[in-house]
Amino acid sequence: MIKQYFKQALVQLRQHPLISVISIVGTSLSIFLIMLVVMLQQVKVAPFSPESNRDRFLHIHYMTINHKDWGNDGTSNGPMSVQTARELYKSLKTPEAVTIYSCMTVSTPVSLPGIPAIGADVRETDATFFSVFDFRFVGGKPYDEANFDAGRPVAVITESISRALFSTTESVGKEFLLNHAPYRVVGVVKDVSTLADMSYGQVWIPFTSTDLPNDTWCDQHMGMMSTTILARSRDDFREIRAEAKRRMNEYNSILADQGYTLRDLNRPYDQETQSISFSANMEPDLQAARRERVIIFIILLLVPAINLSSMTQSRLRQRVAEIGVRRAFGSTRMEMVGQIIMENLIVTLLSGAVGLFISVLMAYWGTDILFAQPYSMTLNAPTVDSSILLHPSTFLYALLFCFVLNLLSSGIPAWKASRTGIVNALGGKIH
Amino acid sequence: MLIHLLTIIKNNLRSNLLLMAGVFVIATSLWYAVDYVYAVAVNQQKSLGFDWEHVYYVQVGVLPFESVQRDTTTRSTDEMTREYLEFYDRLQRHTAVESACYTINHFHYVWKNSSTQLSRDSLKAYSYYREVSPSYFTVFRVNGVDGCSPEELSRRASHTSDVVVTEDVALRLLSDDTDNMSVKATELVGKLINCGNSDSIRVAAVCEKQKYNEYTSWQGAAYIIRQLGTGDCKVGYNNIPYMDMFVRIKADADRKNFVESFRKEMKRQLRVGNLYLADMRPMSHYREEQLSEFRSDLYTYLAIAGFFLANAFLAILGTFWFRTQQRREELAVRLVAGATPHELQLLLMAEGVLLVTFAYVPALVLAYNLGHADLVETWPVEWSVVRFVSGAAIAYLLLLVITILSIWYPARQAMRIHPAEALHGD
Repeated sequence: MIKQYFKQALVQLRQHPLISVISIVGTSLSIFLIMLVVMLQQVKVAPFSPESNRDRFLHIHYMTINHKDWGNDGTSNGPMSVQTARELYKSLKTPEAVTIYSCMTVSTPVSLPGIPAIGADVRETDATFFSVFDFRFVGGKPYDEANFDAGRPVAVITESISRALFSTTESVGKEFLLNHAPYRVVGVVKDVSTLADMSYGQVWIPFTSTDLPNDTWCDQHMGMMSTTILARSRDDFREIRAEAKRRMNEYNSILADQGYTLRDLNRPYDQETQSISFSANMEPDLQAARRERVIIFIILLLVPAINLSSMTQSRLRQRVAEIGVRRAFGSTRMEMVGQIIMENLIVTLLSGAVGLFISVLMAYWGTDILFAQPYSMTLNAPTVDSSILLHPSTFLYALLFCFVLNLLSSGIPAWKASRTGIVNALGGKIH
Repeated sequence: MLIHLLTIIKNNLRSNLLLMAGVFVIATSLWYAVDYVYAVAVNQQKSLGFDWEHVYYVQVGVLPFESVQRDTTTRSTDEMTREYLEFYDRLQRHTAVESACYTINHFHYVWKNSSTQLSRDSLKAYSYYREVSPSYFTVFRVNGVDGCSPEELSRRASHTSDVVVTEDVALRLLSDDTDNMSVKATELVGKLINCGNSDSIRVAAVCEKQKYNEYTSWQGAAYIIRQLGTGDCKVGYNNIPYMDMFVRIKADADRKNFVESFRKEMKRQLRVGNLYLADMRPMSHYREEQLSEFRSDLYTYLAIAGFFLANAFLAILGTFWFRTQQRREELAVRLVAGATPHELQLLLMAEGVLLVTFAYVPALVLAYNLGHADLVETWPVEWSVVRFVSGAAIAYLLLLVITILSIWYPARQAMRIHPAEALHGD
């Protein structure tokens, strides 16, 4: 039966080459665009090293603070100080781990004595950072709590920085100058894509080894730090948020003497919310972002669906005689509908595969354009590797869309055609 | 002719309605994309207000305490300021450097800025708050609003704590009615204004309007003049990382690898006290980085427009291809009755154009309401009737071109019909 369907679909395709090309091109175009939209979203939320645990992340990238002298609406917004991050989040009991790190990377000169410096993006972190983010170490290991607490000048660097400095990736134990201060390499990791917003860097050092914790504002409540919480599972999110809220209320009652109030704007955010959160002083509207995406999907699906169905209908007109003959020889109505849907499904799947293929090509070819990051502070272009984009879920999405497209465009005309009376059908009339 | 075409369309109403529904969705979406591209194009016509070419950013670094090279003797702020100015002077003395300046809270293209409210009596204006040295205007080639040269503007703005404002800010501080053409922005020169809650400051000059970058609209800015070493204007090591230095390089000296050779040459000279040259990059670097996001939006909209045009092409082509086949006999009769093949082609195209126009009218109504309800991108070009009419006309023309292109092939098939063959079946 399947073989029969398949044969017939192929014959159909060859009978009307122009129409076949139109259907395939039209469908693959819209699958292609839908896949791109999915991919743009996937890059923000799909897990990849070093952010493989994205589904368990809760971020507090920025904090909001108010002072009673500023009025109720007067707030200051931005990264928080180490003290605030420790008091509010490091003390939480429910999460698996909580890491504090600098909110952005800073381009800093790295060099060997006597050799011109190169600029590297440096991120300053605590030791927990490496258990929250799973970097792929090619040599050595991350700095531990002891090194962190002692503020030792040690660094984890990427392969490409290691190559640029030492001409080799085996540089564990060697020394280099970071901002003219000597640092020792303790670990070398694979390069990280700039699309990993929170963990990206080229050199990571303990923030206790520099002056950064003292770079504070608002009486040491705000600073240069962000926090990421790793939950044991998504089910814990509610509990973590509740605990963080309680902790914040306690802490605010202590701060009341100084007149400050910290506000979290419903932080911590999960990965999806964080990905659309650009400004520190506004809570992102996740529902609106999702609604926007749904509208885009609907329009992208609707246009080719209407086009295809108007074409399918015209094509069926030419085939009603054939349908009549089949019905006369005992084919049931359901079989006819099934066959027509199957024929179209094969065409749609074919074009879906083409569309998926083009979109993957496009994602590699147009990385710079597609994944340009708004308000990015780093000057290194984002890189994409196949592990980021080629998730089974991406492919399943494509298949699902193909099927919906097929149902929309062929289901209705097929159902109509099957209702044609046999005699009329034999005569070539559709009604 | 029109009534004849309408009858033909009515006779095929069912499939025509489907086609029109498709074109309606396509036309609305196409208009949306065209409107965006149109707004960007209009905005590109407005002047940027400054010139980033041949300008380099210089980051002054302070040796950290961990560095063995750090001179740990204590210094007064005056000494630290002198170090900074010495660094600045040495930079300026290089033969390739045309001019240099330093700024605080102002760095084109990198979203490093602060803003303030300016006021004069009851008139208020929001603007960027940019602290710059007088030579800033020479480095970025900013002209005065009266057409004076950047050099002249720098000379006028040579007094610390004076302020230079952009034309739009000046107008807002002069009159309630910003469209009042009789007010000249230069009238504000010499007047006192308030910046935030501070004391009054004198307006030294008015400069041309400024965009933040190529894709934004003109945004008001106030340049507070700062000259280190004069009065209280000092800088300590902890503040140096927040200051930015820029140099304009002579055009003939701005070659490839300029930064490398410059850094090599100046490495020793630019080690002043505990200061060193930490980084140097062309402005184009930052510009490219920031514009890529705006460009990516633009490309997205162009791609969307392309997608809908392609879909319109496919839909009309497919429908008319079937239609000429189904109407073979009818078309043959027309030929027999004396129509020339070219008239047949014209007939089919006119039918297509009419169908698209019918679908476009409701699309226009929807589009107008979308724009009216502020559901289109109204920044940086605001919604106006001119914008709507232009966008609508461009989208319509595009649709027409696509319609004619897509009907061309089926119409050619129709022109080749041999009446005798087509009619012998009946």
